[in-house]
Amino acid sequence: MSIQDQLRGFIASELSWDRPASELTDDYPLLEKEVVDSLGIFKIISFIESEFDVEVEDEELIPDNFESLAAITKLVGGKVQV
Amino acid sequence: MSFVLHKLLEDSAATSSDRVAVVDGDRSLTYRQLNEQANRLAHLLIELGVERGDRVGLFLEKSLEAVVALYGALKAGAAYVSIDVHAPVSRASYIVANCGIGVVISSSALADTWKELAEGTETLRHVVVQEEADKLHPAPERLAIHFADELKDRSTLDPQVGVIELDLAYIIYTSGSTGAPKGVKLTHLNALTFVNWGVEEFAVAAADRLSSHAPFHFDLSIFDLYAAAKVGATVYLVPPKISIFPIQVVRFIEEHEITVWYSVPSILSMMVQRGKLSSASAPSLRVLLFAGEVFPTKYLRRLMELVPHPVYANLYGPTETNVCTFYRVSEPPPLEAGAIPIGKAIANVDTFVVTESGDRASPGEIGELFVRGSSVMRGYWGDPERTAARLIPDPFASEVVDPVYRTGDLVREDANGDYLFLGRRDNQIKSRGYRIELGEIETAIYQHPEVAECAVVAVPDDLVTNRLVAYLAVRGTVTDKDLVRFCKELIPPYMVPEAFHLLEGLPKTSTGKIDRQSLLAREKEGS
Repeated sequence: MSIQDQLRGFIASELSWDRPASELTDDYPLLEKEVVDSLGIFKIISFIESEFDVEVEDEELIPDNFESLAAITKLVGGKVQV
Repeated sequence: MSFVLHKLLEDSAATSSDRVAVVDGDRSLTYRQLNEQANRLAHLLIELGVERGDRVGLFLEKSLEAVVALYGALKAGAAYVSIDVHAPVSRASYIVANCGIGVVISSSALADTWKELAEGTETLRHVVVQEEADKLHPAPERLAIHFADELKDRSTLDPQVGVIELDLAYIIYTSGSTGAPKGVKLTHLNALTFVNWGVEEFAVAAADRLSSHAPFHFDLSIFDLYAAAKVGATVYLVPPKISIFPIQVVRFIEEHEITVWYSVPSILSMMVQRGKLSSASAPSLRVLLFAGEVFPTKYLRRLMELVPHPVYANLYGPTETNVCTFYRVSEPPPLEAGAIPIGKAIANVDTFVVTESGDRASPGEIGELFVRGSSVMRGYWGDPERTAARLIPDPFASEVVDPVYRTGDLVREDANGDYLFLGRRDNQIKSRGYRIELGEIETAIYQHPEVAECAVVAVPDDLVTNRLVAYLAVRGTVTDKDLVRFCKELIPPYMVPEAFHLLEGLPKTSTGKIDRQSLLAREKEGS
């Protein structure tokens, strides 16, 4: 499964998402629509860190990196490749 | 001497007219501007028929407009009722109908929601939008919408409405165990008792820059707004969006050189973990106050180590009593220590502990905390029964009939005379500072036609105090997504359980009740 789909599955099942995972599109505004709140951010980070064995720096916790599935995938993708 | 909240603003507008009162992003208002705008709004409200004692709804995101709106309502003699714009419309409609709101102050961005709101209630007649008129979709016929053009020519003079300190200033709706939220009625005196104490205790002065983090439908917002107004200081509204990212909150404090911060502990815990705090962080910070839930010792200790310079204080009090006790944390608590105390009563408030058998508890004995004094509410709106259950005659007074509030919180007085919070007598819990009745969530879930049995358990959590998990037995085929969607229609997002576990049947105790302890044990085992 791609990073994107793993993240999609996680957000759809663990965060405030009440529709099928397939409807969570790559550019869906997660912050604007309040799918991700302050607790959600912490859940996503711990998922990313344990699932992909990478570290998310405090400085990376900014809206640009979490505004959509595409943004989070880019953040994780950049770490996995390095 | 100011006996009413809006007089604080009027006095500061007279003495510090050009000082900045409120900052919202790149917009701000001076005391003169804030007072004049609030006066215009108040004169409009009065013309619309708002009278002393009426309730005016605030249906607004946290903004300059919301601050103008609450002062406008107060100046018209009304009590303001701030309604959570993120809660389901059904809940907002309940509040409007419950306390008979005739006028709501809102924004055009929320037009779809307040139109829906108006359709669901009989009482609502007017919506005031402090913006230029735009193309709004047709509103229900009986609803009149008033825009900025109706405000601009109004008098900027302070309206003369004979409000006294015993009049209601605002109503805050909190979670109710029987499924409906309950409106806590608070007077000008109730708020000022706390505000006046806080200003003196923490030496708040004109040069201070206070953060306003809590939403206006949450009683933590009272201190920031009115303490600042009392001394002519500046309030910086914290944009809700930045609270999601700890590093941005730290930057916000640094950038605006915030001197007084007041919030729930969970946001501070997040800053400790992910906010890149150091001893050089937030040099301007002078006073750091927290309330609403227990601050986990390990995070508080770390925070005080990282940012040692401010005064730290734990404020305690249910919405019904404002803040009624406080504890100054003078040094980082030892890691092995339990939760820090909630301290001693604030000025002009009396507290005592009553044991199970109805006697006054001696120090060290566990009992329920009772609160007496001018910070205590005037009851629940339209609910004499529940008011009578919580606001009872002082059991130890002989001649003076004096209502005291039963908090439902179990406490014990320690050797220093400080109260320690031990837990609740009922099913009320805290999560991210929000007070939640598990019964209200269960009532919502039971409304789903397929649900046969249900119990919501609160799972203790370091970061947010409690996480909510629902266990259910259902009749047909219901998915957890269905249930999330269903709950979102009825209760605010922070009350929607994060997981729904479907079981064949719920475990029972020997007396046939749902066995919550075993569900909680199951949850702890699984995680």
